[in-house]
Amino acid sequence: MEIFSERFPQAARAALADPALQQAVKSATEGLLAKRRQAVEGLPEWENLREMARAIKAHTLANLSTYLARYTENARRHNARVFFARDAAAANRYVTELARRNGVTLAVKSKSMVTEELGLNAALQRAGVEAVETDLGEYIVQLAGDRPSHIVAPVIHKTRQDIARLFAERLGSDPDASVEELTRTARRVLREKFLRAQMGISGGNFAVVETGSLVIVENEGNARLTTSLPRIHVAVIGMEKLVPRWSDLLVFLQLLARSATGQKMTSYVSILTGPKRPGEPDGPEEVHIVILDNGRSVIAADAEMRESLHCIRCGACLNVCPVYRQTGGHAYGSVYPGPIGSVFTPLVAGLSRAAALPFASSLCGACESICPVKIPIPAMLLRLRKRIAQSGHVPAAEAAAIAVWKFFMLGPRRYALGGRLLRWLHPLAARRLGGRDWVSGWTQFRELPLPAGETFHRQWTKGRGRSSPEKR
Amino acid sequence: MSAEAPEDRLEKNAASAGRESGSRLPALELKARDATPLERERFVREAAAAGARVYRCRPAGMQTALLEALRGEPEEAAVLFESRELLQFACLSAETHRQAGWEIAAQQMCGCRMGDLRSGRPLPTLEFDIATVAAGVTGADFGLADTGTVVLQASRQRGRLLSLLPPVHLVILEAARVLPDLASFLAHPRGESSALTFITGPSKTADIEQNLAVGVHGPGELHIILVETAAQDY
Repeated sequence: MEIFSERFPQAARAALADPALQQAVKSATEGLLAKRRQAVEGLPEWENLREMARAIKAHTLANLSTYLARYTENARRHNARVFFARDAAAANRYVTELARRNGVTLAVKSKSMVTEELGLNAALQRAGVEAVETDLGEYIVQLAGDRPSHIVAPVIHKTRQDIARLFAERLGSDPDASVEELTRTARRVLREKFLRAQMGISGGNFAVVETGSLVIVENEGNARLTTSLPRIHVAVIGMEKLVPRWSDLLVFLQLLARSATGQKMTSYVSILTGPKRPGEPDGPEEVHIVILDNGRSVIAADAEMRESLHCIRCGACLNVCPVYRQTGGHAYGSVYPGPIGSVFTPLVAGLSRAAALPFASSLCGACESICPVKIPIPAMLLRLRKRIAQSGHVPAAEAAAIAVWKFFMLGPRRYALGGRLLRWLHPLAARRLGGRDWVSGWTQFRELPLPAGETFHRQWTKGRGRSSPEKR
Repeated sequence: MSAEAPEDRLEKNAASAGRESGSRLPALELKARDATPLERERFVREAAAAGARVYRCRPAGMQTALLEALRGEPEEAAVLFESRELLQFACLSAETHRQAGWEIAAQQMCGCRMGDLRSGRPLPTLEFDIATVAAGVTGADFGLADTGTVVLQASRQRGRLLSLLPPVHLVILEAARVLPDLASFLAHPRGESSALTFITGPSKTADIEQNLAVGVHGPGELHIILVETAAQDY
């Protein structure tokens, strides 16, 4: 996974200095949250559904190898081809090989976070296949050579004017086009691609073990086109997308749409089971399901981190996070931003490459409260912080400060000595270092507290026997 | 990353997770119910709230509803029906179905011009292409009252594209096929089909500044003709 998470502090600072971005992220996240709140209030069994979803996910992950085998068997029974990809390279190789074998020159893609994780578009391009994103937001991101900044609403960082200018430049439309006109332009350009493409690549929201089906939830209809028009449909899903039973959809479909966009039901939900049957007038002739591991089996075997695989990618934790709402998604430097991204990115990409992310949280707990599958994100962030510290990925100054603190905390004499030193040095330090760069992260928004003139211990010793220590 | 094979890791995972409490699959029993009259009302309300336009009629009023739904279309606009049977059903009050011109097989997809529909003499033809017609007319397998959803199941007669490519999608749904909710649908025995599609309102996006725009990829208009077909109507 290509990530830029080491630069989170700098990237966050840049985002904080960009008022247009702040405004865009604020209005988008607040809008999504307001719609979600309304949708959730209309469903009295919400808490019950969350607990069901958590229990179903926990059970599925605990029995993942059994369910994966059973899913594969059922999907194959309906003539879908199933491929297990151990890592990104294997998945990309499978898809590009398939394209090459079938002479594919144009592939249409519906929105899929997991293919972003793979860097599949770049791999296809290297293999001479044009891969076109068709979700409006993702298409805009691709045209602009940009990255998505939200897992549900990829271009919340761009204004209508930005997009109108981009379309004018690249597609020759009116530079002052309205949202309707922009949408029509995208429909026209992309419809032509849909009708020509030989391959459609999608993700998947759920994979039903019992029936071997793939479930895709969307609003635009581009996923329906992607999975219906081209001769070959390739779905790439993370191995955690399984749900055991057909009836489990009742729980997850209700939770996902409400949490993501505040809808009771999205415009389209497709439940796809294999290629078109004999006699059906349309649909793909070949269906390939690529089930991706890419570190997930390691996470599944890690009792402390397993629950991060419960995520159904609704984006609610992004919308509610006080950090995400200030920085937007790009600062995280990962396909998966926000609270769940701060857990998932270091687990998939490696602690050392994303050591800043678990610290990009105030641990306020809003993410856990809103999560439709009850992932204990703050607790997991703390566990990750601990692992990062233990593996030594801590800034030198911080490590030194903690070492000094530890030395003085290890015995009562040292502690007393430390206190005395602090009372001497501190006023001096506060004056001399207050404005300096390396402490300004602290002093910019708070004063350095000055130690009391006398310790409690000393006051106690002096005033022993008196009823009120204030009478000095 | 460890050199251990993913299968081994997952096995180990199963062993460790199995010991923890709470890894049992919770019971989930779904009961299929028929929709009450009140719930059918709810279907109409919810579908409208999702952006569909709903017309209610008796079979005899179907053609009127069809023309009302498509009133904006010009005379030469092509309307494609998923089968000749459905065209005939939708134009029940037209005299033409008793006339010549119906050599097309009952299950075959066919269309006619708006002008012919209006004149009450629809002449079905096979010359239209899904990708270029003004409107597609399909039946539906179910309606779900609590979300205003129509469920279409791919079959020999019902493809995936007629409800997807044209800018207007018109659904003819028998009121008896309205179920109260998703649970009732999921409890229902499911036929073998490569694609089940839940449709709730028109194709929409809010990707640009959270502004709602319809018809981004799928139909920008969804019309639902809800037909009350009591037994005595046949």
